[in-house]
Amino acid sequence: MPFQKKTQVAIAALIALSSVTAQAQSNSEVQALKNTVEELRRQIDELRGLVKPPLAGQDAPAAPADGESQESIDARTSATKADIQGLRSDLENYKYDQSRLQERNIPSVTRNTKITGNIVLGYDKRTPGFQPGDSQTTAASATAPGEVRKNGFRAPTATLNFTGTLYRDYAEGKNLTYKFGLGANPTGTNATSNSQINLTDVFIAYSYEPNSGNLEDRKGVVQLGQQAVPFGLDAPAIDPEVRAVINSALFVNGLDLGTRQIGLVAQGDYDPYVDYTNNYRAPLFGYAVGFFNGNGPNKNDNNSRRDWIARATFTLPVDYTSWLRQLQLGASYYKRLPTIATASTTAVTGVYGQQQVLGFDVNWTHLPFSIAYEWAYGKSEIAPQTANLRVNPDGYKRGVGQYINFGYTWGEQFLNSSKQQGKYDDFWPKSYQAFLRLDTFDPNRASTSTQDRQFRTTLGLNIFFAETTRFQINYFKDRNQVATGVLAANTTTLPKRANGVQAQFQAGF
Amino acid sequence: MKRRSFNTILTSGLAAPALIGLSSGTARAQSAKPTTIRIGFPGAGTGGRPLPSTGFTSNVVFGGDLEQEFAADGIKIEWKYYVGAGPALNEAYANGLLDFCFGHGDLPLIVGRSTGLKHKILLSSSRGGDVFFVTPASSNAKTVDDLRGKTLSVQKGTAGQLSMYRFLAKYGYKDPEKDFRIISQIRDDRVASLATGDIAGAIETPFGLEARGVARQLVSLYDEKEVNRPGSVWVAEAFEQKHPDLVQRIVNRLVKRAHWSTQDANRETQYQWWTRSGVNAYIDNKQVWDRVKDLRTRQNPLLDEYYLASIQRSIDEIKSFRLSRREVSLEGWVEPKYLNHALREQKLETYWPTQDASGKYTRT
Repeated sequence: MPFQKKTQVAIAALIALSSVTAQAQSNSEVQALKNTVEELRRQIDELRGLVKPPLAGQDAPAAPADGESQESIDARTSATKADIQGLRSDLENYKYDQSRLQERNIPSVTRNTKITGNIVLGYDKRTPGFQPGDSQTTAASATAPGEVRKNGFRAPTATLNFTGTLYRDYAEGKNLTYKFGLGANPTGTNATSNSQINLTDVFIAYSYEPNSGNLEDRKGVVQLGQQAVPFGLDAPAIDPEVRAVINSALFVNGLDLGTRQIGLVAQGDYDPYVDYTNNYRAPLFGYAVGFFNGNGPNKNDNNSRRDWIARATFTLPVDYTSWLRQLQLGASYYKRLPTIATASTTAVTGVYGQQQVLGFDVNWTHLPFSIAYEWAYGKSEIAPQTANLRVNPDGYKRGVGQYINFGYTWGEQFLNSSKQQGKYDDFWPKSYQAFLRLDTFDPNRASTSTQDRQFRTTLGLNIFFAETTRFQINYFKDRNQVATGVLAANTTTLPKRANGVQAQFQAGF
Repeated sequence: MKRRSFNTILTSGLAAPALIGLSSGTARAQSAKPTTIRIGFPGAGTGGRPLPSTGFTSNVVFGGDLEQEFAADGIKIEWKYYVGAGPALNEAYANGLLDFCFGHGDLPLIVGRSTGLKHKILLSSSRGGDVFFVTPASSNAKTVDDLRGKTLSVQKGTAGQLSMYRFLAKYGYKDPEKDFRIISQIRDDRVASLATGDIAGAIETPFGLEARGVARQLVSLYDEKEVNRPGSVWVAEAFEQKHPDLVQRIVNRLVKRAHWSTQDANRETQYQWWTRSGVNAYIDNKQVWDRVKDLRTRQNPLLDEYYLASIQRSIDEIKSFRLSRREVSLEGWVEPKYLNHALREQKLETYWPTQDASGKYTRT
């Protein structure tokens, strides 16, 4: 019998007893009995207070009220110990799986590292075709002959880059970082089937200005190692993944600006104008100063002097919504002192020659429109040998080139807001970029070397259909003045006229 | 090449993209009824999940209200969530990628307006809120004064920047950039800097950080009128002129969902919806919002005296902190007719509490 019922029976018995005895007992006894009853009542009340009724929903949730949502019902439904034990088992299983994955299946790095790369796969066609031994075919010999190539698939070019942080300054962002890049290209010989793998960008970089994300802060980074030369707009864009046009501007190769150099470069900006509307940042002045060995990448130095470069840019301090947004003017000066031969045709010790390249550029990118113009002039001392001096009597060769690029872009891929837009999985907005480039280069302006100019018109389309992968198609038309006085007949590498199509996938990862 | 031929090609090159631009613009102008309505949120879920995180505007998404509203018309709703917060949303709008914003913070909203972004404010998306100022767990600071001269962190350009300035002004620091070293960091970096002790303080949701032992609350303010500013829902001016009927239907749905969101019976549903974005854990949503006894005080769409005065105060602050050089006026910017119509139609004209310019309740 439950305790509560026993107590009630006892009370009832006592009351019954009290009523019977009341007739026989004196008033005082009645009073004593009443006191006892009261005491018992009090004790019952106390005991009732100690015995709590079961909570609503302890065993099962109470019936939902009218219109009550499932979420509200869930909120007042307690979890059982078994529920919690089940959840804990799941959590322990997850922890176990993670630790095993970490140990067995996930590669690890010592320092924070990002791995990126690029594969270029293409097809091209040119009229007239490339001759055997041309740089666009493979080298030919009697034992490994070649044919004229009018079209064909392009052997892959691949890059692999590692970047990361060596020292992270949480307070100010004066971080020490590194980049290590490899590039593979076909060897260009017909006898072997090898690729050449070379170091590309290999440097450590230190941010001497705070890089904490504050847009109003100046930027400043010094890079030590093998890197592109910060001359103008097109020359530093050595890697295919950053170029809108498949081929570099003619003057980049013509003035020997398209190679990396080993040295030290400091670049940054000053007095940035910030439009907080959309975190648009326009540094009033930008600068780059560098010192290099000057004899190219992946080599020890071979000359006595260092090359140096200086570049300055000016960006209009206007709001993001202004039509003059991202209008930048730049000027570059590159002083080079490469080893050249002496008058002797047999001496192995050369002397340093004077060489300088001047450049001016304008870039305006106000999506969907963009225009880039660049002009460069190079003056190079040549070996004072008879054959050279016949063409350039003063001992200097002067070349000049320029290009202008008109672009029209549609799609969202170039907007930071769209790049960072919240999305499930690998969705990426498609974007398209059409352009027309007019390019010209005169490799030697001497009066004895007239009619040697090169002209190239390129019409192209870039289709960005994934975050890092795009399809590029370029139609180009070349006109080359090849000999004094008249347009010469076709030669192996520089035909009088040529046109063709280049198409390639740039697969970034 | 002769100069003339180079120039001829140059001119044709200039003309080509312009023609492409003109033709596509004409094609757009001919479409009378939109096939898609593009709506942006200044934020996204953790890991960039395309989900909103709080408030009645979020509930419109979770409830599928606008999809239902426009299903019969064949109009698709495209939701966009910008990890780069208010400034990123401005960039998208400046490039013609948005029709509506469901909850813009005061700084990017006003600075955007100052640089020529043309929109109409339709209603308020939220008001009130908690401000938690946290320090590293190991910090000895007991008051804000103890942090003077030290490094604080905020993501500049967002509404959080002005909130930080106002918070410091409340403690007597009227020129906070002089009294403190305020750096700009995104949230992940800020949290890492709190853990390493490289910053002395930040305004941040504290619960997860406290659970991990990374940070502690130094000051907590609840519905502090001096620090908080309402959020805003706006429509692109061109869209509003072209499709006032669609604007009205969207506002109707927003008001209906705002009303639903103030019902106590719907608290749990909302907490669980907001948890889906991963920004705040369920228990944190519950802890923060259970403190709000009357949900109408926060989930309030009104453009009352308090809303207008708050935005005006933000305009003045932006000018005084030199965050914008240009004048901004509320005149012609706030368009309350859609809200008023919706309130009338749904008989909710007196449902929400109103506040005067100082924040004092004039109707409860």
